[in-house]
Amino acid sequence: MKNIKIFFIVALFVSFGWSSSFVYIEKGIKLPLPDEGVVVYSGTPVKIISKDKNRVKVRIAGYIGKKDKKSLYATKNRKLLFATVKKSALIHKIDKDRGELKILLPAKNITNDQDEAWESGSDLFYDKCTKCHHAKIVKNHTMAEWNVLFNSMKYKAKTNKMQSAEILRFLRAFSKDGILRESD
Amino acid sequence: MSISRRKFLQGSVAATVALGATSAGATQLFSPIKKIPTGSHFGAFYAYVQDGKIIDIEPQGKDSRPAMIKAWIDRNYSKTRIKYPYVRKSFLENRPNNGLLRGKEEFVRVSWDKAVKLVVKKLKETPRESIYNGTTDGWAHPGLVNYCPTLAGRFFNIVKGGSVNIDGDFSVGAALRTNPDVVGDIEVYSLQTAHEQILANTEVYVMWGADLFKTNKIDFAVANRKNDEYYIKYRNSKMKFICIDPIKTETAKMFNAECIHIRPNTDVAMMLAMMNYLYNTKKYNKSFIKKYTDGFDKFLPYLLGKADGVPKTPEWAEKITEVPASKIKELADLFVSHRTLIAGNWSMQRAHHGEQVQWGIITLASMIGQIGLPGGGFAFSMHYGGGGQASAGKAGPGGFSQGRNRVDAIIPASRINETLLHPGRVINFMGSKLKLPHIKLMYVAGANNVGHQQDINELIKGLRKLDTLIVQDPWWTPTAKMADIVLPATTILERNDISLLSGSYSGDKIYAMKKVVDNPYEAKDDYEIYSLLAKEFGEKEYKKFTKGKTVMEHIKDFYEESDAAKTISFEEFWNKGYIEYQIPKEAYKYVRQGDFRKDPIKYPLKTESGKIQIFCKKFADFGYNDFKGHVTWFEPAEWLGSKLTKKYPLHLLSPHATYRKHSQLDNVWIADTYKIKGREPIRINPKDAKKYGISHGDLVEVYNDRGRLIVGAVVTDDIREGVVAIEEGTWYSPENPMIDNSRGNSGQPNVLTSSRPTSQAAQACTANTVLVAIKKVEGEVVPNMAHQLPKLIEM
Repeated sequence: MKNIKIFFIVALFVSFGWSSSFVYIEKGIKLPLPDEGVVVYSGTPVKIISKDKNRVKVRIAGYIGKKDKKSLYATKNRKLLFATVKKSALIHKIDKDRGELKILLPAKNITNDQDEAWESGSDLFYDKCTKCHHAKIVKNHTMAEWNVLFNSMKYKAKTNKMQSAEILRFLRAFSKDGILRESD
Repeated sequence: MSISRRKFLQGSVAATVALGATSAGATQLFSPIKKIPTGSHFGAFYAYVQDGKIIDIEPQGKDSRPAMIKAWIDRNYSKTRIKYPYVRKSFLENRPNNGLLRGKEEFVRVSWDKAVKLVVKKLKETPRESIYNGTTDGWAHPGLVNYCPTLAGRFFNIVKGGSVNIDGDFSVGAALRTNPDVVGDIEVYSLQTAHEQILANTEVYVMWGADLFKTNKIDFAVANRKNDEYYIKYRNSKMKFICIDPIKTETAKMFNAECIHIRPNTDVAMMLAMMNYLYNTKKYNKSFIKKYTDGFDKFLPYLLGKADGVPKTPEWAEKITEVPASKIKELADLFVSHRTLIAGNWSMQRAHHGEQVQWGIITLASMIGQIGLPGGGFAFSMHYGGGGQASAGKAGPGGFSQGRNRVDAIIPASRINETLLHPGRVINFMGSKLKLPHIKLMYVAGANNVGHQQDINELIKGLRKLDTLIVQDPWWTPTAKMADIVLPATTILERNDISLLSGSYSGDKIYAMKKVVDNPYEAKDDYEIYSLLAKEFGEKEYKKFTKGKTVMEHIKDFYEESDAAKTISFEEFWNKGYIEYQIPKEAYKYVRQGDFRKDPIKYPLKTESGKIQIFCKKFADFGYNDFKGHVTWFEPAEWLGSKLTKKYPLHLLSPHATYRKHSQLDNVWIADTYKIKGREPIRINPKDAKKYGISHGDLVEVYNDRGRLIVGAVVTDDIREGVVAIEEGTWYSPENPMIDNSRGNSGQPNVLTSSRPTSQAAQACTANTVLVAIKKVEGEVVPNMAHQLPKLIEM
């Protein structure tokens, strides 16, 4: 079963052409790129197409939003956002469900270190949600389950809106049906 | 200091006890008396200290029930205190198979240095995947610096990268695994509809197992007892109270409730029958079902018997529940025609197939159609932590974080015994397979596992298979007596700390938990113990664990994280002893699920459909025979309708204790006021007592295939025929520690309970699914030794 899950995650990376690079945002979860008409989200896996000293051209692939065609999500359940665009034309269809987006990002917003990309959400979760009880193992619960568990308990953790968003994003990414696994 | 010596002497029994324990020399009459604030699970209080001794305790603020607070004096000065570090003799000598002697032999006093080195040596030798953090989420005390569950997790995560933890908890393991998918919230720890809304709107208040007055005495945070004031208003209101419970509870008596003495573990059958009746009479709320729920059509064939040939009618349920069909119909009519709040409890789900109970109440409440209306619907936490109190909505103090645990292995709470006895076994668990880990070392701080775990005889066999068992506690609890290494911890009165935001729901107080007296022995603060151990691991681990700060610096840091710190300095808070937040007026209008009711599109539940899942595909897809896609009546393994009653004719319940918080306060004078010949009481109906030749005050033996124990009989009409009740938490004590499966001599009911899980789904604990037989104890019995110290060899 474990092998199947790892295979699933590897398959996601292969099918989307993700490499081991990620969007890194120092504060918050959104990186607005007004010139590109795009907002990318922290921790999103990307494939580097080219780079220079200051900028990196990347490909972000994911599932196109069902209703709004201006969003790219990590998985079919459309719960973990990768990017939103002003014009849907910026997203090129890969197949009937999936699409890709090619954009230029500041070099400082790209990292090869998964832990660094997700550090803020991870730190917040293990800090705010372990003061009264031990943390549940993230990969043991689905995105939907984490949505319930976190929202049930957040009033006790007294997290603000931004902290809640970061924690939930981390939990979704590393959940049973997420796209990543926490490193050892 | 305005309080006089004379006033103290005229005070409580507790004060007398304390004075008796001190040497009242003449000079003491002129010694100054200090008044020092602190807080506990039993409430906040001031300790009066003279010449370094506590001479009296009085509650902070209004408290009509201060006995448990007063008992702190006796508890602090108890003869059961652990004074020094000890190591079990044959463990210290490293004799082969010495684990088999756990609980049977003497302890040797050692220095702190030796104890710390020994603990760290064992921890270093043991892979983290084989270390069970047995502190779990225990309730030792509400102080944030010395909070054992957090310290233990933090310590293991720093020095070992993690340890094995339990999954779920002992209180609400089944509900925690079902409610999220059914109603999009865990519900059991969630903010409840405000008392003000209930008092203004509720016409029928159903206490389905909930004993509000009893269990709200205590709190996970510092108890505030404000619910007592509301209960007076409840009693004086026009609300009709219904108590569905095999026991006539303290609360039922207070509210003059109509009592429905249902057979234990059959509540789901009664719920289904009410639903069947409401459907067949077309009295259920069709529009609510349509607008706010999902999957009713998939549930209906089962309800009507089209799926299994058994219509779940009131007549069907009467045979199971022994509640007359006419009463079931009458109650269904009453509920659907009046604003009705069904307050469920937690103990019903601590039973075989316990997953069904709260799901059943939610489904019934959906058919009644009042969920989200003021004073209507269901509630699963009115009995806990001041449930119903309006929330201040403010941030409390921070606290240590545990960080990440890198060990994947978990143990569902009911599977501890099985894990210890059969490591490597693979079990079903919430649709997945789970391999039970191989535990070699168990470390318990501030928890009494040989008490809260079901089937104690089985547990002890498991504990004797461990390589190492370490216990850190202020008292020689039954768990400490089973240990290899025993580390003495201070009590809350012997150290500085800061409380959790209190009460659990009102969240309107933060308490300074000030050191009241010195520990006269060698006990250390829990924080200090873990710091010492971390230091032995290395300077890096020590710095990470302590952050290089003193206890007072941590307390100040934690306070600074609260909203209070924005306006009140730490110094002001610490000097005053507490801060209080104002409750916003809006909070008194809170109605659980109110937004969802108003606009289910804008405020959907966090379920698959955004609605209440009467049918849950995820659960159905598990494919289990003991857990389906909708609420289902399953016959429990042990109940009054089973053939096993020929051998064991009585159903044993182990409800929460009236004068304890689990095992806390078993070792104080309060226990003397209710124990029978030194044993925990068992409530038994007069008809049963007559049948078995038992009189009030007799010592009786209660037994089944799992064990035997001695308790004292309390013959009372407060419990239905065929059911007996022993309150949980008394300290376990075997009649003869040298033999296996010895008769329990204190009345600890987990000698008789089963480690059987609720189902393959939640794998939660089932303490309330137990059949027993009873007989009068003839002849002499040895005294209950629960509060006696083990044999100690001093240096």
